[in-house]
Amino acid sequence: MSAFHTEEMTLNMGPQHPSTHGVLRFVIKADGEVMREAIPDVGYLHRSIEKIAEKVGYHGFMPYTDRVDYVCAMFTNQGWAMACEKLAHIEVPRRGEYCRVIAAEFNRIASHLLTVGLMGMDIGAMTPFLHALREREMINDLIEELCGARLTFNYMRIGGVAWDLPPGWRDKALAYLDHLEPILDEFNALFSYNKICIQRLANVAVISADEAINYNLVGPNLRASGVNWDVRKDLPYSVYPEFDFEVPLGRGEWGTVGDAMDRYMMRIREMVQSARILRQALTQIPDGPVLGKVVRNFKPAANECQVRVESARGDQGWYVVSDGTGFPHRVHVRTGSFAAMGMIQKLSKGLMIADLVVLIASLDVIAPEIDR
Amino acid sequence: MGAFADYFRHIRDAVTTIFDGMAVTASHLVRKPYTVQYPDRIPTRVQDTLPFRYRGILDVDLEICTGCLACDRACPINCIAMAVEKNAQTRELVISQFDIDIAKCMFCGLCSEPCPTGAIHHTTEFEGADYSLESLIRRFIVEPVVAYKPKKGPEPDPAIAQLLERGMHYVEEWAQPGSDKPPAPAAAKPSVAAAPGPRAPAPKPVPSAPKAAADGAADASPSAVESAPGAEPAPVPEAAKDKPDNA
Repeated sequence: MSAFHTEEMTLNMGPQHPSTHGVLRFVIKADGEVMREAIPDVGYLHRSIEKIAEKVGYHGFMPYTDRVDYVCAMFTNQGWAMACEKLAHIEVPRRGEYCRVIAAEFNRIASHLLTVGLMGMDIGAMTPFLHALREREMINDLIEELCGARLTFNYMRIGGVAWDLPPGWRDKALAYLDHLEPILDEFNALFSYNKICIQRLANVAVISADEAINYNLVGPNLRASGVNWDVRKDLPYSVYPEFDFEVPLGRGEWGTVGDAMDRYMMRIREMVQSARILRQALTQIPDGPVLGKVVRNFKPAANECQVRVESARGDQGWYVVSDGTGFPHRVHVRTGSFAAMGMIQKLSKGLMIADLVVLIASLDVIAPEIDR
Repeated sequence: MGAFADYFRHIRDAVTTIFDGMAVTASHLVRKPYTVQYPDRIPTRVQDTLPFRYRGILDVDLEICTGCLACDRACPINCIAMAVEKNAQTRELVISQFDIDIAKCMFCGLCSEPCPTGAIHHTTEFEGADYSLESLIRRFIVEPVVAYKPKKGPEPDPAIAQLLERGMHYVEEWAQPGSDKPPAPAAAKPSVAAAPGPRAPAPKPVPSAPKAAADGAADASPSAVESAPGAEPAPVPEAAKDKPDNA
């Protein structure tokens, strides 16, 4: 029987495709429903944020860091603040560090809620998305009360944070955590343990531990492949060593270790751990100032430094070179989404087109973080 | 045989887990709805329910503006245009231009942070849609005004004292570098409303401020819990007023 004549089809997915999480384009070479490869084309959201840093100075760059990753802006704030503090050897007051951790962990929960919700949305389940966003909205309300904004927080400053916790906020935050933990169980019953969800996500786009390390995956994507690497534990910064929490790892209960389902469950488990950190931070928070003394005319001596924070999208590196003036000489951000994009071409081989959406969602790439 | 058993087991699992999910959905029929029908059918304006620190459209109280240009220097995108000159005869600072380009503004709050009197501040107003970019430039100066000079003693003019009191409350919300001052309890604010504002550049901590009322208290003493609802940051009444330059 002679083979049925087929030819390779080139498809464009994006840049305005709703399930590509921002302005992303994929050139897909497909044989029917099965992809030969999907080539990511990034750069549609490039705003030269690193260059802007060289023009606006150290204090003025803080609001721009919000735009590096607008889904979890607290971590980019923290990365920039930590880099500047390392350059100028500034000590952050302990209460300031606690405020940072509290804000950042709330932001991590919000970011993961969006991720798991979008994962449901991408595979065709609308309801979990709305449930996740409702919870995220409550966190946004808390953060709004803390720093006055819901998305581009600009909460942290070089040397601490800009606002102390408002009166009564701590009780509200603790009450929210009491509310969140049952909601996560409810969310699992609604979506995570749903057979259709499991069938759709399990064994899709499996990343082995070696591959994950070779392709420089970070954060939840790396841990879902079973590699125990969390900057909060392994290169501790801020006051994280004072908290008792676990680093969840991919276990492959529903399929293979490192599949899309593992990456999904990783986010759910990290939210539980973040809630655990928050509970400890909110009860242990010491009294004192939240902002150290930093001169307005901030001029660190010529030096270079690299700091790493564990953002919701993984190990985020900030490399800053100062030259003794009020403006940094060079700023570079190393983000987890960019590394994850590099892996898509390899993973997409032999995948169905519909599974590409699952792959993108499970890697949790955020377009502004890829391009910056 | 095994394939058949698997097939039916999958179907059974799918049906039971869908019912689990449906039970969650159904339970939301009897819960309080979370959605808000914006902009109609809400009991209060959204602007009035926003927290005190909300970073909405900028407003300037020119009566207490010292013309120090701190906001102009702090703005990373130069959306504030200010012109201040010194009158040679009277030795007074005269502000002849104070424009804020709301279309450019990114609501970061870096301008209101260094303001010594809280003259430039974010309101809770966020509805700023307009038909042209030019009308989004807020011009606060109609004719040149003399900059406010912080008085040594209490502020004599009651109208300015009130503005200053509001402004200092705004300034005190920001973290003061290195100071151990707990946030001033907002509940105590109405009682001191009639009192003259403190001298502008040096906000003194309220010595009688109960430390427990501040959220900074690590122990959740009963008094802290009690005072918490009263200590809510009150919405700024100034935010609700109509801007004359909004048209």
